Amino acid sequence: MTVRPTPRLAGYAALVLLGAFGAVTLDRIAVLALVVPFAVWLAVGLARTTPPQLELGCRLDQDRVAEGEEATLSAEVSCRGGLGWLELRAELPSNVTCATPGARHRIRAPRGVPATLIWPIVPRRWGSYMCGPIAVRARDRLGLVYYTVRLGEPQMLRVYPAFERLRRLVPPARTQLFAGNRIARRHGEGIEFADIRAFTAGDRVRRINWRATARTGAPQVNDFHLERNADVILFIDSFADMGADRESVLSLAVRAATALADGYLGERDRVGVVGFGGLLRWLLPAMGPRHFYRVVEALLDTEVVTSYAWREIDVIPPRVLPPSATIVALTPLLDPRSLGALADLHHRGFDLVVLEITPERFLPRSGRRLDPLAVRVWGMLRSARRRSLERAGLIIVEWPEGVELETVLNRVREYRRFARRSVA
Amino acid sequence: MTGLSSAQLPQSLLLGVEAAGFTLLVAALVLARADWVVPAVAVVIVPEAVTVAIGGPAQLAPVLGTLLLAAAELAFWSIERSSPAQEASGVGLVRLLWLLGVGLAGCAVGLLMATLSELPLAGGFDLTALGMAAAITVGCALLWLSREAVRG
Repeated sequence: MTVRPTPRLAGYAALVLLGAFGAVTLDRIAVLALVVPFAVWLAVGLARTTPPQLELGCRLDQDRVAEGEEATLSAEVSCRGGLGWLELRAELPSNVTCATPGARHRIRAPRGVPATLIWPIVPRRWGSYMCGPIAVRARDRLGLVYYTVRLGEPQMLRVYPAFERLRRLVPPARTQLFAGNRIARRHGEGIEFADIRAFTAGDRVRRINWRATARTGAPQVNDFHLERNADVILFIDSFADMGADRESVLSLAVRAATALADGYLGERDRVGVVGFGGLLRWLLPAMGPRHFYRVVEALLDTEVVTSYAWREIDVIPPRVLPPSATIVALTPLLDPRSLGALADLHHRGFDLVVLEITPERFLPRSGRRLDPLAVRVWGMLRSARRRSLERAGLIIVEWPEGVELETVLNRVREYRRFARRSVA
Repeated sequence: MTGLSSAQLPQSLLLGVEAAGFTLLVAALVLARADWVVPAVAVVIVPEAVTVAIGGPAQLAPVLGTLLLAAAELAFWSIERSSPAQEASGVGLVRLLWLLGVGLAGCAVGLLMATLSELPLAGGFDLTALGMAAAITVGCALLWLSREAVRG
């Protein structure tokens, strides 16, 4: 606990001394009477001041919220000692706003019954935040001395990205072995009609197509498409970022990845995550509602870590990139390392979809004359990189400002359909 | 200094110094500078002390002192409240009551002192020594209280 005198203490003491000096110099006691009220203030204030014993416990009402949702940080404080007022300020990260002015409460020092204080907080951006501790400044009744201390354990608040519900997703090119909602090319037990073939030993009688049998004279059975799931890997380029905290390339990428994970897991697909950047992170593909929370928790730790080391796809464990997986890459195409990785993935035969989050919208506005020229050159460089990837066969769809993710995915579906028709 | 009379000290000078003090106080409020409040009060007190010393009514001194104390406290209060905070109800009322109580007590002590100073007491070594001892005792008491409070 830090103890400090307020400006009053030294100032009033100096005034009293000045008055005493003046009384002696001017030879009139009445001059001292001018400063007697200040002396009485000092005497009363100091006599009633004792170092306080403060106890404080703080807690969050919920440790997981979505962006923009309100949580409540509460603190229970009790004290013993000659105190007048307490000023309690919650130490909050910059991305967390508080409805309480200055995140500060000013109360009378509680006697006997602990006082409970509430700070309604709203996180503006996804991530993990430590809320607290509480900085307490206690003053005596006459404001001569104040005591400062930080109490309470910081509370972890995990803020999930706010995401849009996607009605339609990009269908993966290939399916896997587990049961799911996707129509596979292979035939077997299913709902979607595929073909009629000759009856073989082991086929169920209920599958016999009697009309075809009557026409051909030999037993014919209906064949159906299998329903299988797919593997989807969300590939997030975290080499570089542009923009401020709430609206930046990485923020958009994480929100989009959350929306895609929600959509694909809802379709009973397996979803994995790869954060490819200065720090490599991954999450093995899995399915189910509980895995959605694992995906979101993994995405919360995504951040740009500056690194000059060259990275290739080889550093990613093979289990993270199952063969025949569909990889949805979210990237601003700023760093050549991510471009090399994407080209490598494409050449290895993965079904790759690249969503380019255009970073131009995050450029700072400047009035300098040469800046528009620099922006154009930079745009041309990025355009050249994009063309080189497209010539290699990658499908790159831009995600410009003001366009929803659903619209971008619609374009991806059209491109893939067009590409298949072109090949046919 | 004791030979000064009101005729020799122009009122405009005293008023000018007081106005400077009040201007400094206003500046402290506007700029939220708590460390300017006491110097501003000191600048206002000096011409008041001179006025009292050159023949002003002694009973007026503690009243003026109490008013200056109230002005200083209200200035500190205003500066503290300029920082954003949610203040619980009753905090302001309690502070006001403390200000009134201690201010009136100080005024009463000051009036007593001013009245005693007007009594035609013969000086003498004993009375002077008693007065000095009392002043030193009060000073030491204040210093001891400050040390106890700040020691934590």
